[in-house]
Amino acid sequence: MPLLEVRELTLEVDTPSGPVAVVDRLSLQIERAAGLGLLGESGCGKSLTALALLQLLPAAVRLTGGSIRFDGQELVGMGERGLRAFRGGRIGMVFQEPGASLNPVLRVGGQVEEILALHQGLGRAARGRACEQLFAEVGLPDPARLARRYPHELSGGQQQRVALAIALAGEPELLIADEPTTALDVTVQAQVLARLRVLRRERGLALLWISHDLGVVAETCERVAVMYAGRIAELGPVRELFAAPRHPYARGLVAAVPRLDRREAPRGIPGRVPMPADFPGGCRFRDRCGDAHAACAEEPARVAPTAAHAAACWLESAR
Amino acid sequence: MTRALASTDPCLDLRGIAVRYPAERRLFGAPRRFLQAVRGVDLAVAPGQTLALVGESGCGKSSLARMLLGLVPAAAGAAWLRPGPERLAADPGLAALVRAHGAGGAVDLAGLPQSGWKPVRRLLGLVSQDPLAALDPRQRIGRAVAEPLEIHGIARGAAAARRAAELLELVGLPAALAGRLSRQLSGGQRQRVCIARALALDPQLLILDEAVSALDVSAQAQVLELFQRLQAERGIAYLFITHDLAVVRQIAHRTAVLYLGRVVEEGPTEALFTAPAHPYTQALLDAVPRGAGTASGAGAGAGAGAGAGAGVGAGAGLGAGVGTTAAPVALGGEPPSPERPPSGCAFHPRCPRVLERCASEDPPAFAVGAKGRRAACFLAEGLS
Repeated sequence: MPLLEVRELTLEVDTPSGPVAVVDRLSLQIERAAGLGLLGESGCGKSLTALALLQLLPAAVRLTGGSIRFDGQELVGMGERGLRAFRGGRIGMVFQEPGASLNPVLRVGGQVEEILALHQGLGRAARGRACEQLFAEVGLPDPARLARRYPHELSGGQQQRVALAIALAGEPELLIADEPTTALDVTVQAQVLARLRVLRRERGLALLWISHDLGVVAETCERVAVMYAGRIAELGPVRELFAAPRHPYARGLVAAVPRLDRREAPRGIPGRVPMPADFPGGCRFRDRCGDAHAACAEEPARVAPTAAHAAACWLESAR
Repeated sequence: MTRALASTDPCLDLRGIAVRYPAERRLFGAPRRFLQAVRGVDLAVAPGQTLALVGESGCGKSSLARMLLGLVPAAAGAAWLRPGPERLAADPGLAALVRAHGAGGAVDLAGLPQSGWKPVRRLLGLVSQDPLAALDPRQRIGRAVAEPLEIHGIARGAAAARRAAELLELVGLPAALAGRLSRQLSGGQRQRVCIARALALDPQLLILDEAVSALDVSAQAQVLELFQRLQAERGIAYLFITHDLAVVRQIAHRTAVLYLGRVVEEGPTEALFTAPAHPYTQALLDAVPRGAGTASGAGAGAGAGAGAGAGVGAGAGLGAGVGTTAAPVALGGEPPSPERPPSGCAFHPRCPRVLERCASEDPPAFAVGAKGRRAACFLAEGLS
């Protein structure tokens, strides 16, 4: 049984022309200790998908269909009380802005201890020790001294490590990370990514990593799902997919990334990501696709979440 | 319009520029302490070329831009902005400024009185990171582009609107968008509006401060293409400030790496990327996550400049070197605060190749190879 099993997840928003599925019958799954990257540009629905997993959606977005199973338990429709064991417990979360996810008027040590009390029921002395251990584990120097600091006294990199320590304090089996290193300097990002690899190995942590950055996904995950306009365009092993993308959008995305290893002009994808109200019928990429043909007015088959490597494109059937 | 691009005189020439901020104020009188954001920076931008400024938080790249825009004063040094002779002949206000405050056909931005900035703004434009913040939410974008023309008395009314429409088309936007508000556009379109507005006064140098950083990759590639086309067509020079090294490699002729307010390495982009001379440059390159963008089969072997484009295979090189000459260097620690700069070389507490003298002596810039390349590191001594 996969650790996380999402089937036909549908999230809708209201637009002037009626409700639109901004995440449309999306299916994905993550095995224990596995890492899946969810890659896409602004507005593709990757962050909403992450928020929906723990039912943290903004008020304007409705979950109108689908199933989210964690370790066999259905999370959709589960009450707030039941979800508490998962939020920050069996499922940890880290977001892009560490400053925004920390309480500015509490010492950072106390914020970690709060989780330790809530999810592990540790007593005061044990909490202090566990907190220092977590700080050491995420690579924070001088844990005892740092625990007494307030968030504003820490650098961005240190804040993000504290956020990671908070996420780990609930002993999660799955970590959902939404662009957690995007706001960090590149050398600090490299340190956090290296720490995370060690933590995953030592704790057998599964990972859902939301990102727009191919390089970061390649360093954190074994598999990647490329999203476009609320659907998965392509799913496959990270290296294989980036080296030989099959969906025209994934190809465009890979070609648009500037290369560090040589001078070669990146190529943009013509047009722009449509607003949800303007999503075309059939394949949602067809207006911008150089390979579009008559069949694309019909939606191609979805990517099976169990597929080794597949693309939701009519060209796939010709392979 | 043609312009002489052959001139080798830099259009911007910084000599020993320093920028500092008061770190601790007294109630009256001079501040107790200063934070040194930029310390003795020498840089030159050639006409029609791109100089990239790269570095992490607190390296001083934004302070340098703010100083060039007159938003903070220079504490020391000179910043020579050199309009071409044609520009001087065509713009009496500028010619008067150069006569009054300049030397050798250039004007020193570091010593410019407030009244001197208006003519300078015609030469030097800015495109910043966040186009939404740079545009008035209640102003139609046609007006936003026409406004500088009116402020500088270049065109008014219908003529300014016509020129604004031309500028929108120049940056790849339909002129029909002129009636829209900024929030009705996508991020990429908004950034094009900001570029059109920056071009309105026909500048010879644009400061691009993280100008593509907030854009999605597909829009980013389009805007980079636009910058390159505008440079080829109009001979504009760019000071390209960014933290994104892959973008730098695609767009910059020369690259300067800043660390804690100093230039640690400067030189032709290709040379700097294929064989970094300063350990910090190497560490920056090594820290970039290797995705498809570096899927080079021969990455690790591309030590020499010519090897950079060779042997690109099907992603076999994910995680391989980026063409640096030494094994990947993982940096510990974080960039130090400019409030408490380390002694000696500011990089020495994090440097994997630190020498004993680095803790006490600040290395000067040593020449590395040809083409004016330099690195402020004792390891680079004698590499010339």
